[in-house]
Amino acid sequence: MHQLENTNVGIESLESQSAVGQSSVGIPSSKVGMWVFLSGEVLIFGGLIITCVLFRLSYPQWHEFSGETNALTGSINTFVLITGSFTIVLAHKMVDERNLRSAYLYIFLTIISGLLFLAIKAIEYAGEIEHGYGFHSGPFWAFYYGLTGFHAVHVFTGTVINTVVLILISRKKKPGNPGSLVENAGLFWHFVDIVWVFLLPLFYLS
Amino acid sequence: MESIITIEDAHTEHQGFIRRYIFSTDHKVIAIQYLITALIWALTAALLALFFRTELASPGAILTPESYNASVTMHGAIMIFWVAMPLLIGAFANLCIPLMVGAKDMAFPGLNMLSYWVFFISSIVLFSSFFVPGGPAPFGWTIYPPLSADPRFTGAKMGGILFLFALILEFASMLMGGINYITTTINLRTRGLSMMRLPIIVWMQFIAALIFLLSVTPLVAGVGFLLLDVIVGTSFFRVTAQSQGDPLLWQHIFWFFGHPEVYVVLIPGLGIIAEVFASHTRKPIFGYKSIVYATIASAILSFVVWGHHMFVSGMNPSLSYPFAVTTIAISVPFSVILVCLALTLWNGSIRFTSSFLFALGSFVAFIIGGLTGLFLGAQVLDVYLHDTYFVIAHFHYTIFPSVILASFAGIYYWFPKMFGRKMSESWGKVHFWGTFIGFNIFAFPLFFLGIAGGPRRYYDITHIDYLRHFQWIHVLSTVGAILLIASQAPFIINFFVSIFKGKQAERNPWKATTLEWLAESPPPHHNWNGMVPIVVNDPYEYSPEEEREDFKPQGILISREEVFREGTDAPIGKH
Amino acid sequence: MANKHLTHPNYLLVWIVLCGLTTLSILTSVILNPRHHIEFRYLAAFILFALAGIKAVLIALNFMHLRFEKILIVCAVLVPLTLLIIAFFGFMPDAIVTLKR
Repeated sequence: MHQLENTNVGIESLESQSAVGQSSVGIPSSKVGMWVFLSGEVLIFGGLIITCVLFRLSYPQWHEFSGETNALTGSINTFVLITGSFTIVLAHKMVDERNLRSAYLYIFLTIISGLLFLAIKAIEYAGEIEHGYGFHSGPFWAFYYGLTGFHAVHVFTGTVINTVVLILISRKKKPGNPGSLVENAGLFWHFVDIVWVFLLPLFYLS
Repeated sequence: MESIITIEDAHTEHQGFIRRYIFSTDHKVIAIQYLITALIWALTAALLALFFRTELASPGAILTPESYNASVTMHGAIMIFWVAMPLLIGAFANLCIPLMVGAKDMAFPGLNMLSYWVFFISSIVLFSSFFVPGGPAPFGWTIYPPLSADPRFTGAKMGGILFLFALILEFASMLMGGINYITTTINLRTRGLSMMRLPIIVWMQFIAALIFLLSVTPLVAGVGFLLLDVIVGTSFFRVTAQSQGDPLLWQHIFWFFGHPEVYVVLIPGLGIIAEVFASHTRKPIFGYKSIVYATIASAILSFVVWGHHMFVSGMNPSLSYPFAVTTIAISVPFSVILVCLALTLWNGSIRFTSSFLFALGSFVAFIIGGLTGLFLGAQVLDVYLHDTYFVIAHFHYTIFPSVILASFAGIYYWFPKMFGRKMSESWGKVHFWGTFIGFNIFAFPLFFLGIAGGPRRYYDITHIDYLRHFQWIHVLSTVGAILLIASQAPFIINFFVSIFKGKQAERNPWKATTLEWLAESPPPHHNWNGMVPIVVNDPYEYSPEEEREDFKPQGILISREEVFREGTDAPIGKH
Repeated sequence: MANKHLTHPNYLLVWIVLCGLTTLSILTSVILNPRHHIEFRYLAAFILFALAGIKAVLIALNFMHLRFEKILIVCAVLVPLTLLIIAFFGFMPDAIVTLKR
């Protein structure tokens, strides 16, 4: 019984799906599911990145193109995402310390960081298109738009998730331990951050 | 916590028709939804096969070359992605995993429902591609560029786009399902059910879901980029005069997924065979651990064999030797599994029900498929046999038993659990013999056509000098295909009549040991009627010496109070 | 339950290190710009990707708590990474040979 009370009975009361009401391996199901999902995501982005690297190794002249991308916005966006990662993990810590007010603030900051990233991204795309680089300007630009665009979709999704989580945990009637929600939203956000860490040298710096 | 459970159980009892049968989160209902959708698709794909087999037997009779291409493509793609996956992964994993691990439902029931409905949307998208100008996608189920990447080659732009969209949706749906199966197997096992006590089919579904998750994800990205090629006109895979696209890259990405995919649809089939063999021979599975470890080994090896599909593709020749070696090596774990299954039959007191006949037929036919695979795995022979009917025959001898025959075995076996009634045995046997004989007449002659050099995908072989004498093989094969498809009529009638008029089934009609037979037939929502299944035995304790009955169930049902009285500190099983 | 044995490392320190590493990679790309120093092209790429790798590992270990998770969850990262390496070396002989015309 005491163990059941400690278990994260999250919003979907996940743990109670097990007939005896507990997790077989001692990790909440939502977290196991999140990591399984992330391991698939690693392969989606990883597959794209290794393909891009292989093309790049085959075409040494690609560095000419990567000089054309906007390294400034790319670098600023890196700081934005790292800071977003930092704030959401602080939110998780605050939830664990039962300091919900600070947690709301940190999640809000994370949402702002996501929106800021997307705004800077939009400015960057506008600049590239102004310089005449589109999807058709060769494989480098196709990869550039494809990969950063797909990543931007993830940032957008992550921002939506964070917003939903903020709404859910700030409701008066709390369905259970919000730590699990914030932690899983954070895991997704960190993953998006890690992907960007690799996109930065791939398209902007080298 | 006590109160939470009672509230939850109470408010799920009274659901309207729509919540219960249409937008249901109940894993058993979702399993039946998957099953019926997949059977409808199977019928569609079988009709397509009927068209182009008739065409091959008498060239020019009913199909134009364009519609021939489209129906061949659609037959392959539908059978793999819209029949095999939802049947084995959608229906049987959904039905078996929660019941067999003693859970009340999947780990994420809402995601499970979403998984089915995304699959349903993908079905509609695919179906609509039959009616767009240009017809459905005609570039072969392997979607090779440049044919697929540039609509100018095929004239089926809209059909191709819809097909690729449907494919992405289908993958997303199966990924959602896979996340559920993996999490449920890892995390929702009931007390006493350690990993090494899981029934074989749960192991197989678990491993299949893992392989699928890890192999399909690069292809999801690949299909997305191929869509960009088709719609936007980028050149990732497309080759034009000034572009640097690489069609070979698609083949790599596709087969990096494609070969594990073959095991995704094969391994659960073997799991069904194992379950049916154990309960119908009244013997424990021979070498439970060997089967589990061999399956894990084959799952790992399946990721390093993809190149054997590309021996003649212009792949770097230095790659062909390692891929040939790994391909031959992967036959070792499969031999272990098959020998263990064969030894399960040894000295058993076998009951020849239709379910067992299908499992046995599947087992026998699969051995032929496995052995002919060795010819194709060695690159020296493959260069000769590649893209001939030998490949077609080999592929049908592996996929047809593991998907269709094993699924039929599973349907006859779990039908009482799904619908609370039994299917007619005598019609089941008619169904089996028609299907099995028809299949062999259809597929076996194609080996010889392939060895004679008959290339696959040709519209008409009567114009080719060295193949003119082999037209009779096509005719014979078509006769077999017609018999095979006609034999499904008794099944369809039997299936739907038995749902409403079949003999009432008791809880455990096969006297089987695994946990799902402890539940009512059909089990109520949340499966256990407020009781809790606790595992006390290994999964296959048939014919134990000391018992009066010839089987010892894997678990017992106890009341919820007893669980809490025992204390939750008791070990949940070895990990 | 799961959060009880989850210790929170010093996130501020990790964030400062991450920002520092990012600054370092930007400096690298400015100093070893391939447009001006074509001979250092591979060295620059190596340094940049090494820094990216370190950053990714830092985020995964600290922000995603992989340091404190069970082996099961660490496998959820290591298995796909292994497959990526296999795929990379499986695709590589083709990409380099057929594309270099």
